[in-house]
Amino acid sequence: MSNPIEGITINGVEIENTYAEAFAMRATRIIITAINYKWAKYAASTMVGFATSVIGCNVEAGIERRCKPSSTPDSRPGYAVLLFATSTADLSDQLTRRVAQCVLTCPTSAVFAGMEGERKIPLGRYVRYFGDGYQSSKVIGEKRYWRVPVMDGEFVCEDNTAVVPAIGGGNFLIFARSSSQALQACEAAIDSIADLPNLVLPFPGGGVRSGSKVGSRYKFLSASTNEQYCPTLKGMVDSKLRSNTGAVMEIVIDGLNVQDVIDAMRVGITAVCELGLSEGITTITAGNYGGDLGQYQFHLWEIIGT
Amino acid sequence: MKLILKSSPSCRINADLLTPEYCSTISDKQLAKKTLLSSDGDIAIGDLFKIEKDASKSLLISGDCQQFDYIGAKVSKDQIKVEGSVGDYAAATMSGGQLEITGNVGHFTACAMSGGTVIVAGNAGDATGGASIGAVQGMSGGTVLVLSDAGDRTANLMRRGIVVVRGNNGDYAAADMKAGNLVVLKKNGSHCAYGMRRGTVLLGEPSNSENLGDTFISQPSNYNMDFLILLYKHITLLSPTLQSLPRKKLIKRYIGDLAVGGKGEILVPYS
Repeated sequence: MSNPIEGITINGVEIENTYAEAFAMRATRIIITAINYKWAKYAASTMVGFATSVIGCNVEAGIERRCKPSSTPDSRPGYAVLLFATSTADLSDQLTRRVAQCVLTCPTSAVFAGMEGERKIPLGRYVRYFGDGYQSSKVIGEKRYWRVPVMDGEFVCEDNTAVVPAIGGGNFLIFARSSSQALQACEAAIDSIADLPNLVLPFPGGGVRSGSKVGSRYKFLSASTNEQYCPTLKGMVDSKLRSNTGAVMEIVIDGLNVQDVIDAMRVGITAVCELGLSEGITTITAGNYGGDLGQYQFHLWEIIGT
Repeated sequence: MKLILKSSPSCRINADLLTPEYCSTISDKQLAKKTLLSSDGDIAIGDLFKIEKDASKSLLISGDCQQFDYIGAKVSKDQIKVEGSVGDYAAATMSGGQLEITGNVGHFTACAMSGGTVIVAGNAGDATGGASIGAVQGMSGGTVLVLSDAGDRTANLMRRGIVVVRGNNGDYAAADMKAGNLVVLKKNGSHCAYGMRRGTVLLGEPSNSENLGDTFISQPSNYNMDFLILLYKHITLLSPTLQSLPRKKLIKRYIGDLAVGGKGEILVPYS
């Protein structure tokens, strides 16, 4: 590692002295189970579809991990899904819609709360009305479940799940000489972060190529392409790209705690730096809005230092 | 705290005062002077029990307490363990915590219980989890595990909660049941779920389906009742001795009582 006053380079990759700006969110975890992993994955992946950014989807979501039958409430194979939104109301609304359209509809599926907490939002409380009066409630221990008659038997869902404070928008950007090299680095980062708990990478496959800025020249559009990071606009705009940068990709991280986001950023940046300049990776930086919008700042040098 | 019964009284005694919460708030001398209502008038607790106080939040009652009614009736948290048998109305209005009885219990155990757990190692009398005389509903929450046999009218008029009988059960189980869950692992008596409106009765022995009433009809197919796994997990967590729950995945389902709407169900594993 070089002198931090001049700048940090790891394996030839420059780490810029900047920070990722992240936002306070509300999050919940649910457990989706089914007769086997195949059908549980169908339900889970459908549920987290069109949930990349709160800007256009009202929710950000992803599959957190695969759950062994021994760790799920009904002892069946399952997946843990994390959902993040800017408000409890949005989270509640999106959760109910997605359970109703993506989990209830999936053969053999069931859905349960995946975390405990004092504040609750409905999970199956409204979905139960699909039973049109034939649904029935089961209170087992301290928890209420709903049994909704469906064509393959019953859809079992827990009445509510907990909602907790969380962080959305932890990020770092990878500058590379070419698009394929940026993608390779992106995949290395995603693979290294995949096993970490309490977080998801909500964008397709975990990577982002369309970094955005706030606002646009159009009245109807609240976010638009961040031209300063577009290699095809170098020379036309006040570009932030170096002369040797041919492509940029971003990793966006939503986590339940500050430390979860820090860990993911560190692990991801380390994985990218292991590829190094010899693989065409030139710079790691982070996206922010000048510190005025987000409640959290994740400074790259501090994270690498930790 | 430990209360050791000096000798079994001849009169009936209302012991609802004996809760861990109450006993821990006063000194042993004060407790000894407190009186319990009995059929022979008030009796001082110190005349009935030898009191041994300790730092524990739980209450241990040792001795044959068959003359003591309403034990655990007002418990809302913490634990009571009775080493011996108790009288009627044990855990009658219990709302939380745990009551464990190593002997038998009388009638109307948990009759108006709304939360918590009752574990009876011995036999239970009539109307366990069922409504007491004149009441419009039985227990409305919590879990009752009877690890031996139970009498008639178990879960009669039950509103919510779980009653498990590991042994044999008497007649009119879950009669007029409003909702809730009754599990009987061995032989069940006649008129099961008579007048049942909602709720679930799980009968562990397939032969129990032979004496169901005509107002219960069997559904033609077999089902994976996934919610049963949730029920089993909850029960075995409370008492690992209940591993004999019917684990077969396919369940035969009877719905009824059609005379009163038919939204209840009786589940029987295939033989």
